[in-house]
Amino acid sequence: MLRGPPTALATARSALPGDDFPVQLQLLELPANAPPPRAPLLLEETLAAARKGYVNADFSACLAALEGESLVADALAFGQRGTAARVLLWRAACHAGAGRGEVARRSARELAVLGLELPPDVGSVTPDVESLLARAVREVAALPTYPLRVTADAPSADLMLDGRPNACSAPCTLEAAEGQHVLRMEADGVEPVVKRVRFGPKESAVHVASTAASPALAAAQWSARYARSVEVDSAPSLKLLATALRSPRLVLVNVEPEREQTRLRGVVAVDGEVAARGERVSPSAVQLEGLLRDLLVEGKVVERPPALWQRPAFWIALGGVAAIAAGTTALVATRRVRTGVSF
Amino acid sequence: MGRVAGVLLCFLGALGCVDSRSVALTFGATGEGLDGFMCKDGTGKQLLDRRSSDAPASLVVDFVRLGGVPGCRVGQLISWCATHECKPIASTRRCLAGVSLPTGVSTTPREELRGQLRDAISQLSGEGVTPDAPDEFVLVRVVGTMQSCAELEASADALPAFVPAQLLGCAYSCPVLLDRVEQDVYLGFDTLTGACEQGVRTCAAGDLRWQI
Repeated sequence: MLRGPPTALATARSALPGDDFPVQLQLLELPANAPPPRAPLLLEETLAAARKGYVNADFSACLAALEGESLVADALAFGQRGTAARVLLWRAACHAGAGRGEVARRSARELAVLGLELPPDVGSVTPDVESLLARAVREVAALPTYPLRVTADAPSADLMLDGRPNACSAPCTLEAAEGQHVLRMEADGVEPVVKRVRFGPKESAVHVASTAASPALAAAQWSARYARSVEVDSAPSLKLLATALRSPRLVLVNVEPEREQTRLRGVVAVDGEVAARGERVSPSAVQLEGLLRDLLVEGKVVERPPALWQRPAFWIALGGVAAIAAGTTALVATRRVRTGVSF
Repeated sequence: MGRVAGVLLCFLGALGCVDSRSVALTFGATGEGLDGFMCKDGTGKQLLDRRSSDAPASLVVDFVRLGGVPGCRVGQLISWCATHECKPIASTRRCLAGVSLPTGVSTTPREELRGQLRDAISQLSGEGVTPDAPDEFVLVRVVGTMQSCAELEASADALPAFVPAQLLGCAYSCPVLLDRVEQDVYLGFDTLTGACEQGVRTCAAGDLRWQI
């Protein structure tokens, strides 16, 4: 992959090596504009139908609209705390209207345990429902919170608790009121994980296991984090790119025009890990092939062409000469490299 | 044929053969890597003006062990060194004494100062740094200081720290495997401002961490 201003890139592309290069190169485009995953709809129509049912005292219709065990968890998984609060408010209101006081209290308590703010819709419910919700909030606020240690198998995993982003990075300890909560884990290179977790006196830890991200998701993650970043050639960026492009071996070269020359900074990654880095300056990008050769040799993608003494034919001939002259001789020799450095 | 004969003799002598090569350090054709020697302190004074005209300067070359291949930018190196041991290899320190770096330059235009520094560095052309570079990825660092070479020699496999108030400048290379590089090694210094004394202190630090 090549990265840099358009005119410099055009020159670099023309300097790409031909068919005699030791490996086949495929020029790929960086996924700089990969779209982020879509969040679900905000349930506006569902909530409107629930509210209409409540206003018309058709509590069955209201509760039918709000059916679904995962409505609240799904909303919180995408950070939509207001939506989750509205779902629970209308459930509490419609259960209360239908004469199911205990169920209404449970919905109100769930809203309070999740730490959700009372939504503006609270102005549309009856005073007794408003009072029910306020009491639940007061009661939960007076209760102790409990810690839960969260670990994850993905590095630098960001955690969202009950729709609040950046709760912490695993491993870490979260605190919340006793009850069920919604935990979302996101990390580069893995699919997001949403998990219902319980905080309480008997719970102490939870581990979040993840699966590798799809190439499309990895591309979106890379695009969001690295496409316009100076860290584009960092190890985490290359690891993500390798997943996004499904390429176990990739080379990224930054083409940086300077005053009277072009700087080429390259990095090669093998199986997602940085194997070598290199830099060259030249009047234009003509040193690109040389840089690529350096990177591929240092990264052990290709072998340096063998010296004469490393070729079997040489030793066979030598052995033959030695045998003729004075019998046979052992054929072991090590060759060290001594590099002198000077100004 | 001479090379074949040389290899043959080496083999028959049953000794370990050595492939000798050489690499040069450069600050760039126009001295563009010398920004780290043109830094000013918080009062606007050039670090180079810390010394008087008759006081000698030393240039210290270190090979900093990285334990891997981090990125080249300052932020990437600092981030890497926060979780890896980035320390100069004591046995490879080379100190060049009596270097004639310019002084009295706080009002000298930047590009004129760059030319003076380039001329001073060119006096070192051909000066050896090491006959046998480390066989691992390292960062080559050059620090200018008012401290003498005797103060900065390694002792008991440990290196004395640079005194921040006596630093004159710094430059460093990208992570490099000197046994395989096939061209000059470029030394530079990432900065977008002339008030870069803090960067020089970080560059010269014993473990490449932020120096406040």
